[in-house]
Amino acid sequence: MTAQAPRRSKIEWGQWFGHVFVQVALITILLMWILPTVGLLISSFRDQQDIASTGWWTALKTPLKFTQYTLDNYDAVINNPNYDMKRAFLNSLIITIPATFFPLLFASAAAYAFSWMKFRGQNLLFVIVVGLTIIPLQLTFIPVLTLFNDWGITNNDYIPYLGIWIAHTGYGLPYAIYLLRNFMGSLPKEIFESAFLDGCSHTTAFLRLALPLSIPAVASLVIFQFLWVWNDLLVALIYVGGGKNAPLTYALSGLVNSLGQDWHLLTAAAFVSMILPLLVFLSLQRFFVRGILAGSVKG
Amino acid sequence: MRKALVLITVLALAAAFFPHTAAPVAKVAQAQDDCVITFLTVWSGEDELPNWENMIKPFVEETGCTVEVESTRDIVPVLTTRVEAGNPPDIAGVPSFGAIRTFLEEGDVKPLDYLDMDRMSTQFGDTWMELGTYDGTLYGIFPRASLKSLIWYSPKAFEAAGYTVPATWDELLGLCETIVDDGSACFSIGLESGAASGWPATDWIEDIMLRTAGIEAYDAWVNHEIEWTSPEVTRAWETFGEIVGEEDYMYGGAAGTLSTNFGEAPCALFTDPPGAYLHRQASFIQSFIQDCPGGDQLVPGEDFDFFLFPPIDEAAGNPGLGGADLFVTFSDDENVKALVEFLTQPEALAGWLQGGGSGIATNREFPLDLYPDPLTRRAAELLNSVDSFRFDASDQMPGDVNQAFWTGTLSFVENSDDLTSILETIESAADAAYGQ
Amino acid sequence: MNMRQSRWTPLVYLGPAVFLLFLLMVYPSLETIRLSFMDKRDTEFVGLENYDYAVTSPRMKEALGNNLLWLVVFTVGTVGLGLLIATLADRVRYESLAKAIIFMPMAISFVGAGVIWKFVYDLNPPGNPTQPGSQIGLLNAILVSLNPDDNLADLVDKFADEDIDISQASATTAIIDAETEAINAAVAAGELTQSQADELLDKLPDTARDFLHGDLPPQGENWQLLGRWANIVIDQINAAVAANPSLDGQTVCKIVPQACSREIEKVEEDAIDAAVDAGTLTEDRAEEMLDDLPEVALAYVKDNKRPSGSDWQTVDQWDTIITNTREINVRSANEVLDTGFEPIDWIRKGTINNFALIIVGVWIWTGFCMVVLSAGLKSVPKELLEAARVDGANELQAFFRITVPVLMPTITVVTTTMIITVLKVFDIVYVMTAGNFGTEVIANRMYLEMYGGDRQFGRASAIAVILMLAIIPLLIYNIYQFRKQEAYR
Repeated sequence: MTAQAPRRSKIEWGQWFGHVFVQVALITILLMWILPTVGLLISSFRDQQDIASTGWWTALKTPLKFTQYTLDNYDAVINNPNYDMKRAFLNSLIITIPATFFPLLFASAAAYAFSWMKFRGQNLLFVIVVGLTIIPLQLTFIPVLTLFNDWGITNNDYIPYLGIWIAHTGYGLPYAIYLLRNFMGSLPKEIFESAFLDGCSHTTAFLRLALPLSIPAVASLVIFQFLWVWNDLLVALIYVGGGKNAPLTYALSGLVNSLGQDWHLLTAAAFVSMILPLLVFLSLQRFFVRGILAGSVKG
Repeated sequence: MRKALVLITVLALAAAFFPHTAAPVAKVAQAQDDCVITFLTVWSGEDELPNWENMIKPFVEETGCTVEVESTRDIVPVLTTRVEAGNPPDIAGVPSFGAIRTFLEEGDVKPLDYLDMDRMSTQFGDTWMELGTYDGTLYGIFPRASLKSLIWYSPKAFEAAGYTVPATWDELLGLCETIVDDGSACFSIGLESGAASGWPATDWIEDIMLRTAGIEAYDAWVNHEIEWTSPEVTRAWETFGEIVGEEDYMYGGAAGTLSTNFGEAPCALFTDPPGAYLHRQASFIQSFIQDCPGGDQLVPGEDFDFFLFPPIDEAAGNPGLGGADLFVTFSDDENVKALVEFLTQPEALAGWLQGGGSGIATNREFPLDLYPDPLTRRAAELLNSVDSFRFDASDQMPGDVNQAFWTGTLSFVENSDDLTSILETIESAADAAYGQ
Repeated sequence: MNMRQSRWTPLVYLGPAVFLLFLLMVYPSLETIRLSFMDKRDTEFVGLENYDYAVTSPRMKEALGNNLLWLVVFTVGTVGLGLLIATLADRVRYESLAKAIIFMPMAISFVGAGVIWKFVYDLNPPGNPTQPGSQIGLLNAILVSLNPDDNLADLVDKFADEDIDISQASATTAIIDAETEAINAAVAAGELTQSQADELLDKLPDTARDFLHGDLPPQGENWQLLGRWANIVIDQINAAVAANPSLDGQTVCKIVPQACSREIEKVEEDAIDAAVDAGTLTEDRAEEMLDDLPEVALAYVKDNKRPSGSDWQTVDQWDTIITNTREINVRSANEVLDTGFEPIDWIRKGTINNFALIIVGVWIWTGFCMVVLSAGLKSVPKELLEAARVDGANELQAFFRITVPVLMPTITVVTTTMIITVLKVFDIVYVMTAGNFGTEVIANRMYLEMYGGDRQFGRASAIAVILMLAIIPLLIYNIYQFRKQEAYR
C-alpha cells in the first residue's frame, strides 16, 4: 500500500503534464490557423484606405476605438446595386441542395454494391470509378455541354438548374463512392451476415444497416460536397451562365471590376459566402461522435 | 425512409425526362416574343456594368430588347466552351485576340458585312478597321479604347522640384538622373496583376519598340516576321533596361516593381514627399489615381497630368499605342445587328462617359465636348493626332506568346542581365505558336 | 457471400452512378485520350508529339519538379497535421470549436482566399517615404518588428549619446509643435472643424510619443491632412547636426551607418564605372567589386575597415565622402528606418515561394484531413487504448501501437485524397502567381495550354492522360488495402 502512493502521484503528474502539453500544442496550432481569418475579418470592417495602407493588426492597438470600424464593405456587398445578392444567395441554395443530395444518394448505393455484393469486373470498375477523380473538370466541359445543349438540358427556362445539378452530381460521384466504399467496407461482416441469414434483402441491408452505420462518413461527405458546390464558380458559369440564375460566387466575383479595382470588398464578401457552409459544418458535427457504430451494433 | 425514396425516384425520373420536352419550347419562345441579346464580357464591378447599361440605354429604349450581361474574368474558358458546345453568347467583348483568332479560323464569328463600310472607314481609323478585319471581311469592332503612351506626373510636384517635362528619351533619362540625385525615385512601376502579371512592362516595350524600330518593324514583330532575338527587339528591351536595369530609378527597386499592383503604382507620385515622379500607364489609370490615399482630392490637370511618351529615334517618329476590348458577334439575328450598328455610331460611347467611366471613343466623329474632363479630352485628341497609331502588340499575339512575353518581362526586371535567354525562351514559344 | 443476389441487383445499385459517370466523365475522358494524339485544331494525327511536349518542355519539367515538392510537403503536412489535430482535439472539451477553426479555411472560397493571403505575404518594398517600414503583410511586419533599429526613438537616442542637442523629449515636442501648428492651419483653412481639431490635439501627445517609439503615424483622413511625422523628426536631426559644427562626418556615420554606406555606394559605383572607362579596371573585376560593394562599404563605415587590394585604391574616394556626409538627407534617414531588416517577397522569391504556396494549400486542406481522420478516430475502440495504458504504455506508445494501425485504412484514404489533390492543384497557384517565378504546376500548365490563349487541347489532353496514368499505382494499392480490409472484417 505504502509503495503505491508515490507511484500514483507520478502517473498523475505525467497525466497533468500530458494534459498541459495537449492544451498548449492545440491552442498554438489553433491560433496560427485562425490568424489569417481574423485578419480578414478585421479588414472587412476597415475602410478601403486603411486596408491598403496599414496592417489589420493596427486596429488591435486601439480595439475599442469604434470610429476606425465601418460597415461600408458589408453594405456594398449586401446592398449592391448591380447584383441582387438575396436572389444570388437563393440561387446558390437551389443549386447546392440537390447537387449535394443526389451524389450522396447514388454514391452510397454504388458504394454498398462495391462493398457487399459480388459481381464480375468489380475491381476494374472500381479502379475506373476512382480513377475518374483525377480528371480535370475543364476537360469535360465541351463534350458534356455539347450533349446538354443537344438534349435541351441547359438553356431551358423551366428548370434552368438541371444541367448544373447533373454536372455537380456526376463530378462529385467518384470521390463520394471512394470514401463511402472505404467506410462501408470496414463495417463488421457479422452484422450483415446475420442480417442476410435472417432473410434480409439488399434493400433493407442498405437502408437499415449500411446507411445508418455510415453516418459519420455520409456527414463528412455532405459537408465537402456542399462546400465544393457552394464555392464553385467555373462549373456554374459553364452550365447555368451568369444571368439571373447565377449563384452567389458569381455575384461576389463581380464586385471587383475587370481591372481588379475594389478588391477590398472581397474581405466582406468572403464572410458573407462563408456563413452557410460553416453552419452546415457545425450542425453536422454532432454526427462525428464516438460510439455511433458500437451503439447500433448492440441495438 | 421509403417515402423519401419514392420522392427521390420521382425527382430523378423527372430530371431525366423533362429536358426533352422543354428544349424546343424554350428556343421558340425566345425567337418569337422577346428580344434578348446575350453579352459576354470581362466588365464587372461597381463602375463598368452601370456604365455599359447607361451606354446602351438609347438602344434598349428604341428596340425594347434586353441585353443580358454575363461577366467573368475567366472569359476565355467560358467563351471557348460555349462556342464549341454550340451555345455562344450573341456578342462578346474580349481583351485579347488569341482566343478570337481561333474562332475566326473555325468560322464561328459572324461577319459584320451589313454595316455601311463607307461610313465605317470614314469614321474609324485604319488601325481599328484593319484590326477588326479577317480575310478581307470586317468581323470585330472596338467601341471603347484607351491610349497607352502616356506618362503621368504631378505638375505641382514638378514645379516644387523645378523639373520640366522631357521632350525626348534622352531628356527623360537625364530627368531620371536628376530625380535620383535629388533623393527620390524616377518611375513608379507596378507589374503585379494576378495571372496577367507583367503586362504593364509589355506596354513599355511596345512603346519603345514603336519609337526605336518604327511601325513597320513593329508590325513585323507582331506577326513574327522578325524574331524576338533580332536586333530590333533586343534593342527595345535594352532601352527598357535603361530604366528597369537601374535599381535606383524604380520606386522600391526591382522588388517593389515586381510586387506592387499596377493599380497602386501611381499612388507613389502623390505622397509628400513624392516616392517617385513619373508613371507610365494608359488613360484608364485616372480612376486608380483617384482611388489612392487622398486621391479624391486630386484635381485632373492640376494635381496630376500626363505627357506623351517621348520620341527616341527621330526616324521612328512618335506613334501612339492603344488598347481596347474587341467585340465580336456569334449571331446574325436582326437585333444583334442593330446593336452592332448602334455601337458603331459616333456618339455611342457618350453614355459610358456620362456615368463617369473612363475611355476614348474609337469613332473619330465622337464630339470632343462630350468628354467629361480635360485630361480625357486631351488623350482623345492625342489618339487622333499622333503620327500614327498601333494596337497593343501583346494582345494581338497568340496567347502562348503573350504569356511568355508577360513572364519574360518579370524575369527581365528581376535580372536584366538574362536578356538573351529570356528572348530565346519567348522566341521558342513564338516559333511553336506561329509555326502551326 | 451467402446472400440472395440476382444478377441484376448490382446494376440497380450501380446504375445511376455508372450512367452519370459515363456521361460526365468517362465519355469526356475517352475524348481526351483521342485528342491527346491530335494537333491543336483536332485535324491531324500527331502521334506522341503532345506527350513529348508534356515531358520535355521546360515549363512542364519545372511543373513536374514542383508537383513532386508539393506531393511530399503538402501530403505530409496535411495528413500529419490533420492526424495531430484530430488526436489533440479528441482530448479537450472545446473539440467542436477547435475543429470548426481548423475547418474554416475550407469554407472560405476563392473569393476571400487571395485577399486573406495578401495580408500574410504582402511586401511593401523598402524606401517608402510616407510610412517607413509599414507592411500590410503579417510576415513582413513581424520581420520589421524584430529589428531593434527601425524606430526613430533609437535614432534619436543615438544622437543624444553623442551630445547633439536632441533628445526624445525634444523630438516629441517637435512633433507636437509642428502638428499643433498644422492642425490650427487646417482649421483656419476650413479643412477641419474646431471639434475635430480639439479631438486631434487631445490625442497628439500620446500618439507622438508612440510614434517615436515605433508605432505608425496615426491613420484616418484628418491625420493625413497634417504632414509627415518622420520628416519632422528627421528635419530636427538635420538641424541639430547643422548647428553643431564640431561634429564630423565620421561620427554621423557611426550613428546611422546604413545611410552613409548608401552614400558611399553611390559615389563608388560611379568611380568604378569611370575606372573601367579609363581602362584602369577590367570589366570582370569591376563586376566583382560592384557585387562586394554594399558589404565593403558598411564594413568601412562601421569598423573603419578598408578593403585591401590595389583595385580598391584606384577608386578610393571614401574619406572625402565621409567628411562631406555630415547632413543626412531625408531619404537616407528614411532608408535607415527601413534597412536592417530585409522584408521578403514571399510569393516571388525562388524556392521560398513554392513553400509559401504549399503552406496556403496545407492551411486549406488540413481541415479536410482532420474531419475524415477524426471520424475514423471515433471508431478506435476505447477498450483497446485502456488496455494498452494498463499494460504500461504511455500516450505516445498507445498512439503508435493502437490508434495508428486501427486508423491505417482511413489514413490511406486521406493520403490518397491528398495525392490526387496535389496532382490537380491549380487555384492557389493560378491566383497567387499564375505559375510565374518558378512556381509552375501541372494543372496550371494544363489550364494555360487550354485557355492561356492558343487552345492547345492536344497538349492539355496529353498532360491529363499522364495524370491519369500517374495515379494507377496508387489505385492498385488502394484495392490491395481493401482486399486486406475485407479479409479482416
